[in-house]
Amino acid sequence: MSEQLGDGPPPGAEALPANQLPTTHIGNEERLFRAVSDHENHHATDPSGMLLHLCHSAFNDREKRPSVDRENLQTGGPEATRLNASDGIVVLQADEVRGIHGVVTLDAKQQPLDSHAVDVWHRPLAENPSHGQIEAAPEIQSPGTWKRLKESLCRVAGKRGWLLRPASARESAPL
Amino acid sequence: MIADAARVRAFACSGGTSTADVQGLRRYVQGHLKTPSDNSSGQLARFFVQRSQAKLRNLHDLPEDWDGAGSAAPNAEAIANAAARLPELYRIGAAHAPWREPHISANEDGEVSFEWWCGPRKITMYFGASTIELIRVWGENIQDEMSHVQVNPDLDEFAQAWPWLYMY
Repeated sequence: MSEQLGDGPPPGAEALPANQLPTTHIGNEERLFRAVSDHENHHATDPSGMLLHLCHSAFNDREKRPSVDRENLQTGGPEATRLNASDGIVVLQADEVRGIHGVVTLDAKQQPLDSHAVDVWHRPLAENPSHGQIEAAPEIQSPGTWKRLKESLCRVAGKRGWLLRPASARESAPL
Repeated sequence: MIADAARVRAFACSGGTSTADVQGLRRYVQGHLKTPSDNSSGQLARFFVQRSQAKLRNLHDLPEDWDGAGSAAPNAEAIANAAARLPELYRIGAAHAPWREPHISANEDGEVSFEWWCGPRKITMYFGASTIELIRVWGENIQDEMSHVQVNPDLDEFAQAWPWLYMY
């Protein structure tokens, strides 16, 4: 008889579906971890070799809701946010994400059509209770608006530099 | 042309020109400049963007969901558009300030992107199958610290943005 392994529910207990997992408010001071895969497209070393830039594609997300992990609930530390051991980790602070202003969709005449508030919500997953998402309300439809928001997210993440560098950049100087 | 202080920043941001670059350029010109009637500026442009052209070719190998974020595979026509404009970007850029090859990536919709950073300033260009966009970024506030324009075929918007990257 094999022993049960892993972090699943204890024998006899039923796992809650993801949409029924308890959620809590994310405080403004909370730090959020974002994993950045060690793909050459996602980061760029400055010609000086001193800086490691975060590229817009580090926030690529088909649903326009980039995932983050809440530091407070990530019991495994930033390493546990990585999907692969080679991933890097950047940090965003919740109030700075909420403080992104000017997320506006423009019409063909460059007049404001929609104004979007950016927030971060706790969206726990069965396998990751610390999971959250950066979301805009109303949802962003315009590709141009999304491109500008990604630039802003890169800036916000860039303020604190890399908590963990991607494996291919771990030998170079810190940001 | 840009002022002296901006020129120093431009040199620092571009990493300067290495001995290897100069030697490579000499070999390239000797190998490709066959006759006096050859278009030497075209040859130089091709030399200074050859690493980028190789990276663009590599984009063809990225599959659907290459980034684990559900992104489309880079669009072949977008790659071709970016590759075709690259020598022209070099010619325009190098006429105003030191040239630097872009960081190349792609977005969720399969568009190709070029990115350049210098200090607090950044330029991002997106290439679709037949469109080009340019975003200037100098802060996180989208309304006050970014500009986002469609780029015309003559690349005027890039010609204005390139020296701006170094002038702060």
